[in-house]
Amino acid sequence: MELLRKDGEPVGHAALEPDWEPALEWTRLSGLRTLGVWAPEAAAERALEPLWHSELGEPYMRGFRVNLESGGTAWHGDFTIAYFAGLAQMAAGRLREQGALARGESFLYRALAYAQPGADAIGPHSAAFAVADQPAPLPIRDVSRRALEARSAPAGDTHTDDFEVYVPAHVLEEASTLTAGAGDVETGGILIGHLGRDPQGPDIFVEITALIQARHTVGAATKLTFTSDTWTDVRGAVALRRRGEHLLGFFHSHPQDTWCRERGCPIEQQRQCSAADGFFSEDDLAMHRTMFPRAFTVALVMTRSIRGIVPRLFGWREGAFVPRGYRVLAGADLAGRASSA
Amino acid sequence: MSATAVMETGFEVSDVTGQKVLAISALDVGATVSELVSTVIGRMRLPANDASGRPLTYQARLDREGRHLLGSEQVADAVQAGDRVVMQPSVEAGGTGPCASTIGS
Repeated sequence: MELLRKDGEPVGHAALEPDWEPALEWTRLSGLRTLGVWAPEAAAERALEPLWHSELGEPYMRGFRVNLESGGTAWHGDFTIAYFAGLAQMAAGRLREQGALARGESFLYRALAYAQPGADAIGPHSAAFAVADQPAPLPIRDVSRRALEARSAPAGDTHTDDFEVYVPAHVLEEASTLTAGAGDVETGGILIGHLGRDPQGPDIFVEITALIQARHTVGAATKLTFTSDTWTDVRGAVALRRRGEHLLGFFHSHPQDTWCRERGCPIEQQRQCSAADGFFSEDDLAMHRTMFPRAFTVALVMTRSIRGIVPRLFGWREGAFVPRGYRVLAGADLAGRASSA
Repeated sequence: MSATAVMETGFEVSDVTGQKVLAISALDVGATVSELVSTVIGRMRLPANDASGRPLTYQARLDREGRHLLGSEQVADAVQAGDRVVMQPSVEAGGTGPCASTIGS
C-alpha cells in the first residue's frame, strides 16, 4: 500500500495482510441471495484476483474479485480498495508515530498487488491428523414476507441493497431492560433466530426470535468479555428451546452516560455527541468477526445516554461492518416450514 | 474407548455457531488438544488475535462429557469416534469509540 498526502506527495509504504474472510463471506452470501446456492465449503473458493486500476495499470488495483463455484455454478463478488480502509488507517497511524504524517493530516492511499507463488489458501495442515470440510446445511424457512411486512415497521439505517432483518419488539425491550439494569457496566446477549425466504423470490431474510442474556460474562465500564462458559450456556439454551434456531449475532450495551459523566462532558456536548447514536468499535468488530463471520449475521448495540436508551443494528455489507436497517415486528411469531439451501 | 477407534472413524470439530464444521480423521495417538486447536482455528480461518494483537484463547469443549479439554491432553485419550468438539473463545467487546471525549467502547 502506498500512502500519499492530499497533493499526491508519497509519504510511505506498508505491507498488507488483509483479512479476506469478510469478502469471501459476502460473495458466499450473494450466491445464496441471487442464485439460491449456498457454498460454505472451502473448495468453492476458486480464486481471488486483483482488478487493475484503469489509468495507473498493474500493479495498482482499483479493487479485487472473489470467484466462487459450486455445483457447476460460478459467480463472483467485486470489491473496491475501500476494503483496505481500516488497514490504511493503521498504516497512517504508524507514519504519524514516525512523524512522517502530521496528526490530523488527511491522506490518500493506493493498493498494489504482486503475485505470490505457493500461497496456501486452504489453511494450515497437521501431520498428526487429517482435516476435511464438513459443510453444515443451512436451514432456510419458507415464510411469507408479506405477512411479516404487514406487522412490522422500518427502523434504523436502511439501505436498498440489504436483505431484510426482522427484530421482535420484545427483543428490543429486553435489550433495553438489560441495559438499564446493568448500571455503569456493559451487558450483552446473543441474538438467535431463523433464516427465511419467501416462496415468491430468491432473496433471504433474517428473523430474530429471541435474545438470550449472556451469562458468565465479565462486564466493565468499557468492555464485556464473553467466556467459553457463556457459549456453553447459550448453546444449551438454544438446544432446550428445540426450535432449530441459529446463533445470528450478539447484543451489547454502551453506558455512554457513565463515560460522559466520568469525563465531565458538558450536557450540551452529550446531547450532540455522535457516539450516542450508537457505534461499533474495533474490539466490537473483532468480537463479531470471531464469533459470527457469516455475512447474514448482525449485531445490536444499545446506547444509554442523555437521550435515553437507543438501539442501533449493524451488519455486513460488501465486506464492511456498518449500521443497517431492520423492521420491528409486533405480535406473535409466525410459524415457518423448514427447507434447506 | 480406544485410540484406534478415533483413528479409524474420526470426529467433528465445529465453531460455536455450528456453521463451520471440520471432520478430523487419521489421528496420530500422540496429537495433543493444543495442536488440534491451533490447526482447526487456522482451517476455520478464525482470528488468532484480538483487535489489539493479543492472542485469543480458544477452549475445546467436549459436549459428550460437558467439559473443556486441557491443552496437554492427548486427543485420542479424550475423544471418541463420532464426538463433536466445539471451539469456544473468550472474546472481548469494547474499545475506543469515535467521540474524542469517549473513554470506552
